[in-house]
Amino acid sequence: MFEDTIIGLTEQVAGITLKSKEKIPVAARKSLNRQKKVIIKEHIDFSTQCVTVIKTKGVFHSFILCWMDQDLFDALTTGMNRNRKLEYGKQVFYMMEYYNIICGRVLSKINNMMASTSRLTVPQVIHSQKELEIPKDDYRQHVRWDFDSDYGGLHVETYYDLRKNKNK
Amino acid sequence: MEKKGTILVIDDSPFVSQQIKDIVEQEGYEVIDQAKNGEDGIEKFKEYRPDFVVLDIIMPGIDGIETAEVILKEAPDAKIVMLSSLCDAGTLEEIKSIGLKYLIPKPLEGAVLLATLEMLEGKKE
Repeated sequence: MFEDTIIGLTEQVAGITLKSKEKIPVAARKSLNRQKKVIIKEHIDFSTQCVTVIKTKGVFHSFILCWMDQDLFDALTTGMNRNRKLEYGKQVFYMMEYYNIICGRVLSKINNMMASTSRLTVPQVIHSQKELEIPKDDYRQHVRWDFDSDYGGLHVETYYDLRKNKNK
Repeated sequence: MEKKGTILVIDDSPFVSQQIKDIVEQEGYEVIDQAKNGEDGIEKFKEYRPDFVVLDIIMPGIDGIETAEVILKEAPDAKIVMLSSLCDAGTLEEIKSIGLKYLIPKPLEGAVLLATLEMLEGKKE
């Protein structure tokens, strides 16, 4: 359901077709859950993949990590700007708004399903692995969505916990 | 073309501001300024007294709901359209609780924004 939401919104906002890739295997997810500190490493290139973090607060408490390949970053932001190329600084803002839109729509669905009012933070671009050390105890569940496109990959990795009766 | 009114956009996203400008200016509205956060938006509202305000909820600093509350205290008749990537029932209830009626989901659709502005103006039900 959420993958279809992201695919549909990307088409609407930028005219780019994403395809959902196979989910991360259960065995790998179990090994992530055993780690004391969840540290994202190795598979992300901070210099080219414009890594962005969005947090949610409330009943759905989460840390959402988003990143995409450089060519997709260029194609997506150009598509959002009616096929006119942007200078890099503006591209970053457009990308942040894209992540705000897809994460906001997914969170809206979760809020409606759970009859809760969890909130998003403003997206924040991350420049190094050090900024990604998150206390594992805060987020006991994990899900990752990987997408492919003609321009490269998009990845959305969510560490989350469900908390009762939490307001913003 | 008939001039339809002035709009202040309060949203930290240049993408959204450009979208709004592209949609409304071809229909006779004028985007008089853009504020990137609530505090700046409140100051610009006081300065310009626009006919309409299009206001994002999630922004750095104070959020859009708090910004709307301050503007409505200043001008209870202010015509405000809320805009957000969050469009769940709880968010709609929250904006209704402060006296507002309209929440437009992102990504923005031109027809929806224009119809909402007309409803605010009182031209449509």
